[in-house]
Amino acid sequence: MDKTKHTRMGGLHNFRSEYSVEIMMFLVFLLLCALISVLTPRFLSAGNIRNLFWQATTVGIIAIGQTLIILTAGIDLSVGGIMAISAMLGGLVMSNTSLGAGITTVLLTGLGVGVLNGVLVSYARLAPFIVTLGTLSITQSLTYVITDGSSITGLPAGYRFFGYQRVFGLPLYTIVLIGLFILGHIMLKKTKLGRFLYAIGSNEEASRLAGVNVKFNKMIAYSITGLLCAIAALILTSRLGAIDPDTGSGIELDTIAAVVIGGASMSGGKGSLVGTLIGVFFITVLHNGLNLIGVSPFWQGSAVGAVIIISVLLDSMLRSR
Amino acid sequence: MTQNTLLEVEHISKNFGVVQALKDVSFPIYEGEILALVGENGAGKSTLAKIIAGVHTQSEGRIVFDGEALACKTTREARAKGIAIVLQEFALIPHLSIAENIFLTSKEMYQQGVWQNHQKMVEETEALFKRTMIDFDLDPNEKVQNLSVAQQQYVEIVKALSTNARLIILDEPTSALSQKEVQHLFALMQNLNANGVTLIFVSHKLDEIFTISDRIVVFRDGVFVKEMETSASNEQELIKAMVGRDVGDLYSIRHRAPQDERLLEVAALRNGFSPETPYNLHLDRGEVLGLFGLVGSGRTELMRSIFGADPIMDGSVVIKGKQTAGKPLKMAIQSGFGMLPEDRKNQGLLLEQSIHDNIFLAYTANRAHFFRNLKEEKRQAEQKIKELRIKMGSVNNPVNSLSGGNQQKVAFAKWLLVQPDVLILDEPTRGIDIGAKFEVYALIDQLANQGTSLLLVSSELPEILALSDRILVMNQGQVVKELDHSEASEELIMYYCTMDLDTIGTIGGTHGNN
Repeated sequence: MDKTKHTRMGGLHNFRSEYSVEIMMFLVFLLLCALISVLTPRFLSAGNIRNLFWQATTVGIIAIGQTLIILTAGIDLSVGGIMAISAMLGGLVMSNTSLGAGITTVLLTGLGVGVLNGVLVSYARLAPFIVTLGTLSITQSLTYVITDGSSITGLPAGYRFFGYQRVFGLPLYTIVLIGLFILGHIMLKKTKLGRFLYAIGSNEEASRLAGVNVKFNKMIAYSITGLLCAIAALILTSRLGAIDPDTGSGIELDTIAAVVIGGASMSGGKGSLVGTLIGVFFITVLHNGLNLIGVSPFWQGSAVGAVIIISVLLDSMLRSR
Repeated sequence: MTQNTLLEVEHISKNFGVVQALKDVSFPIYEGEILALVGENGAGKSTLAKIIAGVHTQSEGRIVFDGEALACKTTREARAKGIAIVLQEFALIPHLSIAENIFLTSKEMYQQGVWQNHQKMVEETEALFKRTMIDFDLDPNEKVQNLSVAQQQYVEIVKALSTNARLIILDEPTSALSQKEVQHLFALMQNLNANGVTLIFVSHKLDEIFTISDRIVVFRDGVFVKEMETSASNEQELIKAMVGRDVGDLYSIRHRAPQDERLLEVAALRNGFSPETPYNLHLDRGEVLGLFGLVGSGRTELMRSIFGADPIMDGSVVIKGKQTAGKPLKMAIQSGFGMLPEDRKNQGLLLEQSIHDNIFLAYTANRAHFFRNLKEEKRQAEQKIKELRIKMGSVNNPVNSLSGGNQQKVAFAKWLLVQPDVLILDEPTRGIDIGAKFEVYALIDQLANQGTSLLLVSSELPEILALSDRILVMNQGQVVKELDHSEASEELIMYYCTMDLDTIGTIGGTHGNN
């Protein structure tokens, strides 16, 4: 009796110390929700909450990959470009052949660009910032080139499955989002790959000398992110019913912000998907709340920017204490 | 020696958060002496030195300097009073010249507003060089980034002289120096001392303390333990005061019997450090092969190329019949290699990751399945922590919350879990206190007796002599001599590692496969 109590308390204590930053951010998140719901009652309506889960989906799926990369002390600026090109190529294939071939193309394109990022960062030893800035520019430009700047509409009915299917009364995309977060969390905490990502971000040379295949594991992080961008693009364009060459533009900011707000360190080795999930909803609620209150979209960028800086400032103040 | 009190430490206490680094410390410092502040890591000696020099501010108590209570909040204020400190991390600006660094904060040199008086700076720097009576042959216009560690330290000391410091504090000044450079530093310290400068020498290296100091003040766990005249003391007494118990002889004779089984055979290995020298060496089961050489002799480079951490030019490394030269590190490790690198912080540990994750890094990389067995890991980690007596709060704490000695034990634990046949130890006792050193020595003995072979690099001669069954001496990239445990002595090793190879001729490849 005494013993079980002890271990349970111990477990709780471990959780508190391991996730101290995440717990704090969650409290701030609740504060933000409370503030917005006071300002506008519409915030807590069933319709708006459904809305929030939809808005969190794309950013959330990609933020999982962004977390893996930031853990290795890297960054991926090309996520929006990967979304655009994989959706667009898939759409073209779909219009000319079949639904299955189209979806396969979306996924393979995302994975392909991710692998390219990974190879350039790991094996060619280029700076992640530069590599992904380059691939962002290339993928966005190619997206316009292949369609001559126009959108693809009139997608087959089957394609709408990803954006509208419901399972057990919940939207499929929400289940995908939560499922990917759980998978990612298990991967980080319970598998070799997860430990290696933390280890690499913490000290690349020490990891290498201990026998960790640093290059391969870094490449995997970029590849997974590429694939996640494709999945996000699939869900987004499926729901919108059209593939726009502008798909995903600017999403790198929101995903990086979500990861940073979730307590990850840009210098690597620190962060978690629990934190990132909180960060994703923080960013989503911020955008959504400001819209509901009627703040001009022009101001929203300032709000997001200020939140990023404040959360990093809080983190550094907590750490220096 | 005149016994005028220059500085009086009165009831100094210092808290860092909840940690009490110093508790009610009082003692005098006499004018014109060389005082050694001694203690294990975390004993409080560096903290006190930094309080005197204005780096830290005390929580309680006061410092009386030359009859006047000091309240220096910055090193600059302390310098103005005549107290200077040379820290382990130098406060020099790499891309400025020596002269510019020395007179960086000097108003006198910037009389014409922001424009520096270049000519005067260079002249004054040269005058200061002369005052030290040591000829380092430095050009005052040389950029600091082109200087060796020893030369940068010299510049720091000269900088202290430029402000007419009466008390100069040297915080662990020899930790990054070779034997020869230490001799230089000691000569410099004696010259300064002869010129009336009082010196505080913070260290935990016993031989150096006995060589250079007049008086010793010992700390343990933040408390003043003892003060003694150096000439009236001995190593045994000092160690006892530092660790608080009798520890026996630090380098007691060990009994080992290497087995007649060849584990490692390195043949004609050439690396980028010394492309003309092919290295040949071998190692039997249960043998400790010591490798001694001055800093820059190529010993670390040789270790890294045997392990496979750096690319090699050609040659072969065979461990238990398996060729690992030119193969990925993972293969070398899985064939039976392990290596504790020289630089624990930058190459050995994941500082901000947990103790658990550090202990399991090599195991996870080389032995584990994709899904880790967390329960089993926890059990094994606890066992290793107990075996190695790692002192810590929780295995989930980051490894940088530990003392140097305990950090090194974590690095050991990491390799013990993969059970290497050949373990390379590059300076395994650097920066750890005496208590932990004992434990590392005992561990090396234990491993050797259990049949692990060890390749040991160390800059501490007594350590190499006590632990090794055979000793290889390196000099300018070559292995110049192989000595058996029974014939080796400090004098012999120093002779071979410092001799001038050009006059004697090349001796490379002397030791064949006996």
